[in-house]
Amino acid sequence: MAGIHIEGLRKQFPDGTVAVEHLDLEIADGELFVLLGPSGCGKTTTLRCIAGLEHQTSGDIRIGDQLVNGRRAGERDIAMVFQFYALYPHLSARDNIAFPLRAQSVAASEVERRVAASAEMLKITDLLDRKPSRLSGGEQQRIALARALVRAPQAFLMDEPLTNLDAELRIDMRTEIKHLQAELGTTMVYVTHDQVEAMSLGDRIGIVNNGRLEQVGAPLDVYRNPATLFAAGFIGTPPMNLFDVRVDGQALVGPAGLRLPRPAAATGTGLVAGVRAEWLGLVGPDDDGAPGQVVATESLGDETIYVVDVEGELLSVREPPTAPWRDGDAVTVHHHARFEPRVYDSESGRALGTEPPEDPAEASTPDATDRSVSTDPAHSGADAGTP
Amino acid sequence: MRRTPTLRRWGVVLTAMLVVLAGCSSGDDDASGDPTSGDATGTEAETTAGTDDATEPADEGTGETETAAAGDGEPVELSVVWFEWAPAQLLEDFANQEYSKVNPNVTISMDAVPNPQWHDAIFTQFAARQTDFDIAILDSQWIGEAVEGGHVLDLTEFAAESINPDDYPQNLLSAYGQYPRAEDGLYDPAGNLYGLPALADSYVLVYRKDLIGEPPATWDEMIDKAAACQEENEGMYGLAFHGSGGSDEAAVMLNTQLWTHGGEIWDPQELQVEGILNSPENIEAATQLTDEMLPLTPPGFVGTAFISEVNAAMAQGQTCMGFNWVAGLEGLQTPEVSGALGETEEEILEKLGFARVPTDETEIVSLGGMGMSVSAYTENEQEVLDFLAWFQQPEVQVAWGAFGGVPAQTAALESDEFLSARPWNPAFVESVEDLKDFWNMPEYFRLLDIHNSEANAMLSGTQSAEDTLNNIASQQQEVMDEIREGGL
Amino acid sequence: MAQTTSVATSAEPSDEGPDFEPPPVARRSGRLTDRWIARLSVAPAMLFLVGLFLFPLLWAVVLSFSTYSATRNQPIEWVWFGNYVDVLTSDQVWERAITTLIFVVAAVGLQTLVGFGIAWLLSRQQRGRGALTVLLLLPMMLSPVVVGAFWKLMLDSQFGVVNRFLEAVGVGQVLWLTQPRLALFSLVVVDSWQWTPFIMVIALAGLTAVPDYLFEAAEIDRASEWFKFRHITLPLVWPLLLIAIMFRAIDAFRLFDIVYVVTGGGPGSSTETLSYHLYKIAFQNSDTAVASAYGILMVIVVTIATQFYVKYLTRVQAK
Repeated sequence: MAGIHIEGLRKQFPDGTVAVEHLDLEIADGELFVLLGPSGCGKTTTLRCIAGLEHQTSGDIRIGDQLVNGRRAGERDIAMVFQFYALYPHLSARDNIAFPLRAQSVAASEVERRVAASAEMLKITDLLDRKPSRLSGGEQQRIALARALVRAPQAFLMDEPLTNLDAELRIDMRTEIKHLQAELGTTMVYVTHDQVEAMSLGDRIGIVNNGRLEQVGAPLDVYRNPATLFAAGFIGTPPMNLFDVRVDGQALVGPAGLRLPRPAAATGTGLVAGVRAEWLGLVGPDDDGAPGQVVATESLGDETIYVVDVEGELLSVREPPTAPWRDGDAVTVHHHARFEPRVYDSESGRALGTEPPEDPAEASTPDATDRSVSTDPAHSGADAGTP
Repeated sequence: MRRTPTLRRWGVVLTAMLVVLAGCSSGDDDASGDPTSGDATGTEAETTAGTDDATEPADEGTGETETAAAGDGEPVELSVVWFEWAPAQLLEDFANQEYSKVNPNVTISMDAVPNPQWHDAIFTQFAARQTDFDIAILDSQWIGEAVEGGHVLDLTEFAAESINPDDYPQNLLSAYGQYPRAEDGLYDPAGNLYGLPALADSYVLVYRKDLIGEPPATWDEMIDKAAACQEENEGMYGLAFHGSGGSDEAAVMLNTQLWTHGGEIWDPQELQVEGILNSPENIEAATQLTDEMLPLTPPGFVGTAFISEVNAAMAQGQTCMGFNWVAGLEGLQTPEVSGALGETEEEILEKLGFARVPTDETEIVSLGGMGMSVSAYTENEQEVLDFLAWFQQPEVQVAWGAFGGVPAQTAALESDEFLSARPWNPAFVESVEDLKDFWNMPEYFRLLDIHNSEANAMLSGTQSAEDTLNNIASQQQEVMDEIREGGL
Repeated sequence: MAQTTSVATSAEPSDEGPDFEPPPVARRSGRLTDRWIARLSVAPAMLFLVGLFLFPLLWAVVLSFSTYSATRNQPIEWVWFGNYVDVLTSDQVWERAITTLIFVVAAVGLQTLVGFGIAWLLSRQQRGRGALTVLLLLPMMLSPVVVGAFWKLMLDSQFGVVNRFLEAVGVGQVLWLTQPRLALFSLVVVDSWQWTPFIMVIALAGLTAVPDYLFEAAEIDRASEWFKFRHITLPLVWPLLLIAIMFRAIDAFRLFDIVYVVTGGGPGSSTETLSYHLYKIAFQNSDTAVASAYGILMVIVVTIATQFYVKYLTRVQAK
């Protein structure tokens, strides 16, 4: 087992496409690190560079203290699970799992023992004699996982392993993967475009956009303090409300005079405020705050999300299920005073008062969480899978 | 727009009737250009058959009435099958040039197929009992097969009226036309004739006058001269002869060797091969072929060699001497073929000489050549017979010799025209009375297959003479035994 | 515009509504049932099949029990299985069978090795693969007779370009067509020159159908190149390759044209295949009945061999 260290990674394909612009990343030994981003952002390319299936244009990759730049995938001692499982179709589940061991000429008895152990771990012992074509997607993914962990590699690399499973199975498997990783203590890099998956799995999350890391941090830190407008818009369901504000003394003023507390760093013009849905509240039409009209209601059972039109700006507001509002109702939106909004520079898209995300000070604080948010029952949609 | 199903069906029937009616009318008055009418095409075809191309099987009339029509000026094309070599073109040109003076209505068209397909091209049509040729030029040994199948006309009566057997060397008349053949290989007046000579042929020795000097008279002298010539001329080989696995090519060379050394290949009377073909004398003779003569040939040459290979070897100055069929030499005297030897025919003939095959115990020479037989399925019997009668006239045979062909009549062979027509003709004439053929029975191909395959193996240098003769003898004896049983 | 169009289309069904007409397929002659239409449609193909294949085959079976000869006018006797016994007990036939077997194994083996090898190289070549493939397929599109004719010239011991080349590099003269072993080998080479592309193109189809991610997975699993080839490439392409091999083997078993043109069965009868021997019996000896029996025995042998092969094939594919 080993940590993974990436410095100045850049990958340009022969056709000129730049998949990874510039990327620095430290992944600690034993950490479960999630690379999150929309499709085409460069996260999978980064993972394949770590695996050795692609070779970077420039930059260094170290696994443990080994510089692996020129090494082929087979020489890096990593295991990988692919989006499409990549099981060998002509081999039984057993032979698939045994493949990495046989490729290394491990003794037959040892192969048998270790295959049985991994199968046990993933509860697939009764599937071992089947061909992949006779297994469901979830079962195939389990075989692929078993094949990856049969070998005790330096690190696991997971390339959107759950994307092709149906929703329910995905939640189960996600729990299981997290559990397995914790048990084995092996470093894992997990690539996904699903922010819920990222939030629920990762010790830390790295948000990738346009071939660059936007932010690295613990899930709740990333949720509470998105470092960029992109991160703010990508993380959370619903995503952070973003709207233009201007400074007015100790306050920030948004649409229809919506007043927010002003963080110390928020000065000047061209400011965008980022406000989570649960930081806002709704009251009757004549109360203090910004008047608006409910245009959509999402009842999720334990909570209700209202979309409110405030002077043309659509704001999401999280309320308990007991809230009385209906579509079309006139309401007033106000900001809960105990939360401080995030403020971004509209030009650079960066949060004011925060260091750049590469800053190790922020990147290496996996346990920095926002207590007020984590205790708020309203945020459960963001980390439903966390045990 | 819309029609009921019933109406639609009637519509189809009506349309069909109209089409049929249209077809009939165009057939009647032949004025309609309607291409959909089947009848019109039929009428056209009949007309063509009746006027333009009388060789087409026409419905009207029998052979007799057609003959009358031909005499009245109906053009007739007689089709001849042979294999592709110089004499085929010669014969077609000669016939069209000379016979048209006698009968301008008849043209001769030669269908010259590649040598390996020659037999199949003729006999597959015989098997179908329908031929698109009128005259088949059969290799002398195939007559038995053709006669037994009833595929060729019996020409005995016709010959009695139109030829004089005494005009011919008796062995040639027999070889090219008689079945069964008399034991002495000579013409038997009591026997039947199924073919008349088209082209006579024999092995001759081609030699390099400039290197050999006088041609060898005996077999041993030939071997000595060949060895000496090979020794003296860097890059040249002493001998070239046939040995290919096709048809009878290797078999004839083996027979030539055995016959000249006094041996026989079988006893036709007793149908005995074993003990005769593989006699100690024959084995000795064949061993001379493999041990003394083969080493004097270009490596790998004999196993695939036939007419054109030997010609090429001589023309390119690769060998000092070679055996070849007389009729196959056509062209060798020309600068087009033998440009390596000289720029004019005179220059070439200063180097190339032609002599009869050397002798040993006997003076026998292998007989080639073939006769013309008439397809039993011809539509033009009378025209074919008229043409044959003309071709066998003594003066036509002389002309044929002068034209470059090899005639089969004594007078023509001895004529100055023939002797001076080609440089190798005198050598042929010297050989005529010593020419000898082999089996012409229906089992010919089974015997030949054995004979030629084994001889080819031997001449390729892959099998000893003794094994070869023993193999042939045992296998051919089986065939003979079957014939004997069948005969009982 | 959009408005009027939608009105027009929506109006049509209501207009047609009361006397709705079935689509043309259902509108057909009342007398012909579907079953009869089906029969009539198949009839031409069946006629061809019966006329050109079944009838001749059955006719050959009938002839094989007789003494019939196509060119001889002789009364037909019925000898039942006599011809079959003759063929099966003939030393010549067994010699030809062994020659044929050696040829089939050598030729198909060589073609499979080389064809698969080229396909494997091609599959790793991205640029110009299409053009290269077409180029390599060319020999297959030539007539075997043409191929035989120019190889015969090229292999000629005296004038052939092959020997000229060998002499130039100092190997010396090789008697390609007049040494029994070499002559058979030459046939293998000629046949392989023409038919290796067949195996190649099928193997290539199989190879390109193996998804890249399997090789990536194997690479991650630390498999060596040989291990990948042995345990992924080969097993995945094998079923397809087996089909190609079967076609080639059946075809090679019937080898005639190249023998006919290149060696004529020689030297001696060392390169005479069963088909060539059969040809001689049928068309030179005109022993039609024996040839029929011979041919039918060949069909039986091929059919039985194919049955075993197909069983094996389905087992491999089931895996």
